[in-house]
Amino acid sequence: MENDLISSISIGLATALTWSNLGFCLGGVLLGMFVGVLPGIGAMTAISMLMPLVYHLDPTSALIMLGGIWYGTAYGGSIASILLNLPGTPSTAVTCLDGYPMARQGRAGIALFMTTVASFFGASVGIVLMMLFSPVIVNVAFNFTSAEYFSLMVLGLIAASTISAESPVKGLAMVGIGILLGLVGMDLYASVPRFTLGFYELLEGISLVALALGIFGVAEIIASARIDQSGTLMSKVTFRSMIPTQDDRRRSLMPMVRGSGVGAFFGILPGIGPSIASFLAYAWERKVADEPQRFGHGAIEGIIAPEAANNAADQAAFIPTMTLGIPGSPTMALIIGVLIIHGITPGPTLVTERPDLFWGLIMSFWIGNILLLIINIPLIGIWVRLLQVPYGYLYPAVVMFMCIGAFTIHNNPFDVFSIMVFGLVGYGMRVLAFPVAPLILGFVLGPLMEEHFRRAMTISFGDPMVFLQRPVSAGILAITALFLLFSLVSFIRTKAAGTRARGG
Amino acid sequence: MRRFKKILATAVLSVLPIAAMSQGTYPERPITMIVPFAAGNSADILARVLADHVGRQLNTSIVIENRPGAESILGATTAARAQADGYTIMLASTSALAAAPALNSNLPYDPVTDFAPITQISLQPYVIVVRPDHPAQDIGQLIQMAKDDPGRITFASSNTTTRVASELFRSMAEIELTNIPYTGTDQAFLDVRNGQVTMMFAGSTSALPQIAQGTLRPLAVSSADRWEELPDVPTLGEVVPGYEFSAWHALVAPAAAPDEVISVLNAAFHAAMNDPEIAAQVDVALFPTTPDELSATIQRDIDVWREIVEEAGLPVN
Repeated sequence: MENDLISSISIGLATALTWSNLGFCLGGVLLGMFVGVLPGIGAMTAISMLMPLVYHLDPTSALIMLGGIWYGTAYGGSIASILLNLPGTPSTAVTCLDGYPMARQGRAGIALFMTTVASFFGASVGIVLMMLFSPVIVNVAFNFTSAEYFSLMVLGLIAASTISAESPVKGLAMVGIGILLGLVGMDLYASVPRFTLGFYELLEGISLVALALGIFGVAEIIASARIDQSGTLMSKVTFRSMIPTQDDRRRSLMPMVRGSGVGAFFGILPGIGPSIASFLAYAWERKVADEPQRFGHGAIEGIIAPEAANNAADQAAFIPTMTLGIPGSPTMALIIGVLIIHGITPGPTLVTERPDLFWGLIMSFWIGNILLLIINIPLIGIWVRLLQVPYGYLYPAVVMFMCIGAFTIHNNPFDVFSIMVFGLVGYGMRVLAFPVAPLILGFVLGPLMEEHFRRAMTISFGDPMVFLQRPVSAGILAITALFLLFSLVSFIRTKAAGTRARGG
Repeated sequence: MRRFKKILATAVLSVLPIAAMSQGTYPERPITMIVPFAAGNSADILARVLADHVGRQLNTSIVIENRPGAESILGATTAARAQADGYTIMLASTSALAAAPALNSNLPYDPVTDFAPITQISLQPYVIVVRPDHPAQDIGQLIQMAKDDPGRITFASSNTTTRVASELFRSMAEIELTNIPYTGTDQAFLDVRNGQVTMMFAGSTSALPQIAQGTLRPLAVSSADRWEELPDVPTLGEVVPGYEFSAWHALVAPAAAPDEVISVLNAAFHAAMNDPEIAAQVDVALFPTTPDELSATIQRDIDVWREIVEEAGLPVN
């Protein structure tokens, strides 16, 4: 077994370390990082644009490059989240919550440095899992039915309700609105359009990119345009200012480990993906934190955990794609498409039939992530300097990129209008102090929850006990119940403590 | 791949006009091909492989414009309203040309009067698969099980086309089946494999490797003839007389496109489809036809869809 692994690694390295493949890897991660920074333009857009080129490449090189774009965006996405409060990709939306306050406190350099480290750590966990446990993990995913998925979604939603600190009621309300927005589109079961107002453009639902960019990005730009911000951010980033303090390092270690675990787990489940993983990692950190009230005000744990999670999920997403031939996301489906053009069918036999491709890709992940780490750190100073561009130039440019990003998904102007509408809505929510992060999570989880609930119920012919009869599902629901109980207890305790404090 | 090679004759004849046309003026500039699917979708791959070949043949480039969304309705609407000068064409599937008109009463385009057919591109029959240890040994036993316990047999449908293929089976075999809808084929395959769902109509590309690995077992194919790859698997028509169902891709232009353009494109695409290198690159069975044959197929399938949509009580929007 050990010899197998070593020989596999050497096959992989031999493939990944050729000059041309190194070039494709570097090209891929650079492009990925770049499109990740541009709000709205994500891996999907970049990979679709490269499709014509991909036909003429060797399949291994093509995959190495596309893979590089995919995980490179997760590094880049956090940059825009931290510096501009604009999620570069939906999976980095939650990083805005604490990343942007850190930047406002002049700690942008540390935030960027630590997210790079956390991203690298998360990605490493994902790759190690892929190397050692692909077959085992695939079995887990294989035995997950709709009942388990539904129970997981319930856990996710309950955890989500704790994301917003200020007012749990407002947080829950936003989760609810998110679910409602998520229901727009064709009802899968009845084949009837819901809440589409007659727009064919809404049959497949509201675009997640348009929603996330609108309520985070446009809303932020409108709000920023109203206040003079000159001099609020640090003007110079020296290497020294990026070095995290002893306190930062101490606080980051466990979130990094927990975030990677959450990310790797959700990454392997088809259809869940890095966005949900990053939100849940954040929710978990808040839950275990000694001082949850620091979250939302620049807590370093609040950026470390989700960044480790989305990178771990990005890497783990390759496990079902490559070994089962089951893509977890539209981007992974594109990658399978590339394999099929070259006459390769991903599936359980891929590892034995094309070890050069499978192990070459895995080894390229290591190389790509190391490249990203090396490239990212000197670039931090340059990214931060981006903020010195006068807002009069920066913001219109950002709005333009967001519109391009939304447009390219369906080549349809409808999505550009959606961004603007959600921008205004998002600004309204901001003014009224409604947190928008739970809305995004509700939006992503709601439709999945409905799909799996209805499917599990149809398969069981209407017997709700199916959720308790399957041991994994029952286990997840038990954890959810414990979670609720703890929340309730701690709520009562803080309430009581508050009353005593006021009384005394 | 299958017995469709008989179309070869048509194709050989159709290569002849190319020589005559090459002095003509069309095409003078790049041609836009609207594909109502996302980049990377199997239809998109098909379009790109063919566009590359045909573009070189006609000394121009064919630019793919992906217009995904609303089960192809958005892309087809754009194509229907494009200038009919031969510089905009569309590679569409059963969704836009047969399913949409049956499922929508207020479609913004008419698949028959708004488009000029050029050639059919592919023909995609399905295979009914179950998990390897399912008690039904053949399709007859499955039908019997469905009769003994009405509604207990479930089928996974990953889109409207596989749903309609299944509903047609249910109706013609006079049995009751329960529909379990999915948003894509991947989770559907998993649930059939782990026994959550009894059966599904699956496309050959995704099903054949799993059948070869023994993770899925074929019971019947939906085409009129048996498949070369599965010689022992009967057609559904052998058990349920008259059953035949396939999805397809087709190339169309806006209705008023000049006849000359139609014949140039028909010949050029046929030449591409008959190139063995192309056949190896795409994951569907290529199926070149004349414009008239395509026209008849579209009309016939619209009728089949309307009938089954009505019979199964699917909502028409």
